[in-house]
Amino acid sequence: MAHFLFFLLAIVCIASVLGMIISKNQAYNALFLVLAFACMGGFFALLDAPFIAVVQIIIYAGAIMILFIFVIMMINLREGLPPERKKWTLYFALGIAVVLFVELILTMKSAFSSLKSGGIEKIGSPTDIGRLLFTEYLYPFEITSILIIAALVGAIVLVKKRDKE
Amino acid sequence: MNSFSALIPLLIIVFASLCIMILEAFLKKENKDYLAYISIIFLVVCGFFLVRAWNKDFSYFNGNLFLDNLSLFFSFIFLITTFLVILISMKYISLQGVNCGEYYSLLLLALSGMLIMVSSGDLLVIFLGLEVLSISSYSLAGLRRKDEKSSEAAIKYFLLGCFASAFLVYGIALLYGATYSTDIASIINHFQSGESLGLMALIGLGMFVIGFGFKIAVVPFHMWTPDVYEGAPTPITAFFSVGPKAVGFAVLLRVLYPYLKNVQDSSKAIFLLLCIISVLTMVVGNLIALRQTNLKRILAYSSIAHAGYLLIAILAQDNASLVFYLTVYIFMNIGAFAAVIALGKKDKEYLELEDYAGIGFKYPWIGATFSVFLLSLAGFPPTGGFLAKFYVFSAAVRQDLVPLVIIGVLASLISVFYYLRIIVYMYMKEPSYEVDINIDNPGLFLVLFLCLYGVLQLGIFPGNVLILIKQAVTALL
Amino acid sequence: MTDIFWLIPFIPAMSTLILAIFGQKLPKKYISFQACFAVFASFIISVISLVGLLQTSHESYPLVKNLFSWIHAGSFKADLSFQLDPLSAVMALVVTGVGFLIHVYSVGYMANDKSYSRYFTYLNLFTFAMLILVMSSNVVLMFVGWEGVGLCSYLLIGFWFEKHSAANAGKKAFIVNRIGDAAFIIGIFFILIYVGSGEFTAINSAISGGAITQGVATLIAVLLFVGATGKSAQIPLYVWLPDAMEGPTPVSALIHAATMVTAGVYMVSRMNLLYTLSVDAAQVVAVVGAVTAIYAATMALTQNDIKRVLAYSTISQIGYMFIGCGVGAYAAGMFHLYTHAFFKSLLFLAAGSVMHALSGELDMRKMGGLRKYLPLTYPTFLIGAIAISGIPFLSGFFSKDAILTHAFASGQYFVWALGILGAVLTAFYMFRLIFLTFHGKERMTPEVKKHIHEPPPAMTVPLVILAFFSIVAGFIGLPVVFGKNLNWFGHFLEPVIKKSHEAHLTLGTEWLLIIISVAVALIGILIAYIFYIKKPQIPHSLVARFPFIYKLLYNKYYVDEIYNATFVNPTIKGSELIYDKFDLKVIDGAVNGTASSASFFGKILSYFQTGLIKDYALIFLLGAILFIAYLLF
Repeated sequence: MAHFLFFLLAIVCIASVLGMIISKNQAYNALFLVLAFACMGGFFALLDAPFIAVVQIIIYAGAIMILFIFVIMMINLREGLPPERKKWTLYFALGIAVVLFVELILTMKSAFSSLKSGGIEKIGSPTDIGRLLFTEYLYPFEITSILIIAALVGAIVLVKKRDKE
Repeated sequence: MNSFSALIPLLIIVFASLCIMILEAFLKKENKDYLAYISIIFLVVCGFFLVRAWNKDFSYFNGNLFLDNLSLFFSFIFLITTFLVILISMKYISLQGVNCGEYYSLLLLALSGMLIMVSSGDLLVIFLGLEVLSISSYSLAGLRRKDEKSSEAAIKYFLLGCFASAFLVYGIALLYGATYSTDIASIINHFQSGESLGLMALIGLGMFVIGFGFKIAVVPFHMWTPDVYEGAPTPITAFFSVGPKAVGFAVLLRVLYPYLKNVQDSSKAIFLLLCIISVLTMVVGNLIALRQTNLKRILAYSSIAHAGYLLIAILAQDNASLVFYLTVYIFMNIGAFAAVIALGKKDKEYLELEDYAGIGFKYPWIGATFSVFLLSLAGFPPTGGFLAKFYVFSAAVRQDLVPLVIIGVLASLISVFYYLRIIVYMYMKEPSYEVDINIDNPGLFLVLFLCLYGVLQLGIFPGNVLILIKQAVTALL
Repeated sequence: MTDIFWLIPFIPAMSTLILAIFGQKLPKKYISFQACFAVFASFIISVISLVGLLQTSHESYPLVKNLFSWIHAGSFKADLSFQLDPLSAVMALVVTGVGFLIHVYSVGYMANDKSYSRYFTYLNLFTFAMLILVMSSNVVLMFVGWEGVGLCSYLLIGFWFEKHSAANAGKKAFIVNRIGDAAFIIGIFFILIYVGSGEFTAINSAISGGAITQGVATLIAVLLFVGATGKSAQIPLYVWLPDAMEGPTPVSALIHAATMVTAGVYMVSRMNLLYTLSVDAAQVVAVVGAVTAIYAATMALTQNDIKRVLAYSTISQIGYMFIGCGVGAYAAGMFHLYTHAFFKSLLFLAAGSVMHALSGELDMRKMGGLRKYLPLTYPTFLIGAIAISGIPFLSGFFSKDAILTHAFASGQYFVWALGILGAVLTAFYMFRLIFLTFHGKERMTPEVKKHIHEPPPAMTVPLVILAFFSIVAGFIGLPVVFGKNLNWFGHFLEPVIKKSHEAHLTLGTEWLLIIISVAVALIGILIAYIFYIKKPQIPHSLVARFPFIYKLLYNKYYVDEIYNATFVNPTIKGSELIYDKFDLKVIDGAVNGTASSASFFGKILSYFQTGLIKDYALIFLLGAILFIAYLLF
């Protein structure tokens, strides 16, 4: 059952990411991305991490994507800019991507046989996550707050209206 | 020693950044220079705490954060970098119409990112620190909003930076998958014990190096550098060319030094790849620099080339020479950029080579100091640049990396050409048009003086600094 | 008392710094005072150090003062450290003593020059660099001084750079010296490789410990000597020195006669163990010295420019010093260096005062009969000429005689014969100079004649002092014939200089040699007297009889032309060819011919710098997959 679900989710996920890349309509792009994120949430659920699964869907598929779609609606771009990419660079890029993909597969393959299920056993529940965040990962957790400040300030600086000269 | 003291320097910088943001709202426009002074005061306080922590080995958060001597030395260098950048920015901001509140606070946030990175041995923390630095940098690059190039720089930096971060984080994930740890020491242990999963860990490390290769701008991960350097506000370019690069090397040093030293067989591949990258970087950086006529782009490619020399130091496993090179590099590069910034007035920067004709006689102090910095970048004695290159190359010779050294020396011979060309323009060309600049810029002249002092001090009396550096790098052994 | 000797180079350095920064704003009076005082102070300290050195026992030589460590890398280290031993003490005394007098002379000579402060900045800088050269305790620092004096020489030759010939002469000196320096620095590298240290003490103990084989010694010694031929203007790299006379005359006296050009002799003496070990290298030194001595003297015969005669004479005299070094009589070579510093700078300064009197005239054919107009310059000039000709009891006699005696004693009769021949020529051209300038018909234009006057005391006092030393300086190194232990100079240098093969000559032979050299000097003077006073038509008839030889000599053997044809022009032509064929056609507007190929690759590489993010990302990815691929396989 789990295997079946995994492959189903995987296929949907990959397909939606491809759809996102190929489609030229921004609204579709965003919706495909939502779908991909939702599938990712599914993976987490399959891995016994219900909390992360839920958070993944709420934050990415919910909050961030809604924001995206609003932005797209507001600035109202109909068509993306026509890509003036030369044909050969496209194929070239495709080739490189395939090679990278193969390389990553090979990497993983080498590890399949000896991968143990190890590490921290239970990380899925909110209690566990909370405990880890405030004990072992307290420092990185605090640093993210600095990161968020930096991102906020940066974003605001770049988009706010200029002072009148 | 587990102590809260380890956290204090970082807290001060973050606090300073927040203070600046709040204060900006209350300050009148003509008093905005106070923000720079306040930042400097905080930097000095932070520096005081860093100095006090020397040899104390403070750590906190179960060792996630530690202040060994190496972290302290690097942190201190970064403080100096930020201090110099703030000084060269003060006038620039008002002349080029950049909003200053966010400017200083983003700069300080970037500094905090660098402090986080050098004072941890945990890849997760290092990654987060890198993101703090990067995100602040992306916005800093776009701050000159009157200029489209600046926005272009920001978006390019952002997109490619994300790209590199993806590699970095994937690499960390692979390392974690292979070793169940994000701690550098235990990852190296794992490598040493030679358990299975070696390949996965190796690829993880490779991707980690790729991600950092972007930050330190080595070929072929350097493409963003000239465009971003050209578009960003010039003091920020100065910051980019030294800060992220130095911190990138600091982290690579922490990871690669024990790896190359302790892991004999599998490290050969990484070693060879780094050799290739180093050669490519030196050659490509210097060759393209020959073609440039824009000062910022010349210095951008020169900074790429210097990353190549610095990689030699990593390969030679001579930590002291790497740290020394970085120290010298900070002074000479910021000095050179300061001289470039000096040639500007209201809403106008002089950045083309042609603009520099006859500057040496018209503004002797700028011309003379700029020449010294360029000579130092080219590696002439008795400047610090000479000694730095000398230490790196002689360390490489001791490690039997003679081909690398030969290429390095040839590459620096090429570099002499474009550095000297600037000097030739300054002293031997007749100016064809008037270049008038705003010379009422005490902060900048202070920087010129300090950098000149630094370059000469490190070139002629390097003894004391070398002793400190030797103490600092013992933390790695 | 001796440990303050490191101040000797330090004081001129400080003075240079002050003049360089504030020079433009300071009054001339102050500049001259400071510049002269700095050198004078160094001189006083040199004297004090010398006295201290004499009181120190020989075992503790050399006294080394390590100011700080400059480079430490692995086993290699280069310190900023100075050493004091008899050799450096002698050199420091000569440099500061003669240097001081020339500084004073310059105050008068340059009084009306608009770049007064620049001149004294360079002059002080030169003194500093020269003192670094002679007092450093390792070859690396010596090389710094070596390059430093070269730079100053270049700056001072081209001091009046508005004059095209002066700028060109500066450039020529610079380039020719670069060739020598390239060999020199390779020699230093070999020393560092084989000895592992640049300290002179380490080099000496390596040589006496047998760590250096004879072949290596020859290699190093010859490379260093090539450097010395550049700096000391010996064959084949002497061509820059005559042109260097474009600089101000006091500069010619200080740099291109008394001090810098003798740096090569100092270097060979400093490395005397090396040259003693390598017989072949010493032979090269001796032969090059002897050939140069006579070769330059022949060129001096026909020159009409008063300073050029002196320039060729300098080349020739340095040849004598190298003869001394080459036959193992380093003390004699150094002795000649020391006496030469006095009489040659005296000659130059006196020539300068002639020029000063004649409103800058250099051509001897437009002089004559000056002796009654310049009652002070004439006798001093004459003293200098007598000294250089080797007339007994003046300084030049003792030193030249010491060299030739040693050359004879060591069995190098060929070298000795060349030296003797050179002595005839020397006496001849010096007195030709005297007779043409100070005797005979007055050939000046009336306008020039009206203004003839003795220069101010700032210029004449140094002349008198130098004349005094030109007479007495030789008495500290009397030859054996006057008594056993009168060669005080030689004894003083003994701790540094390996004892040369004691001259196994009987007293009678020594006397004979002395008489021969005195006789040839007198013959030379006599011929000059006949040629230029008694029968002035003889030279003309000789020129008419042997036009080829005259032309050859007058055009300095066409060496400049040969060098131009063989080295300079092909280089220029070749680069022009590259420029035309390759640069202009392949890369339009490439910045510089030499960098063109590099620039070409730069251009190709910069095609990738499209400015498009996707291309950047593509290259990034390409790099990444190659990187990972290598790790995978």
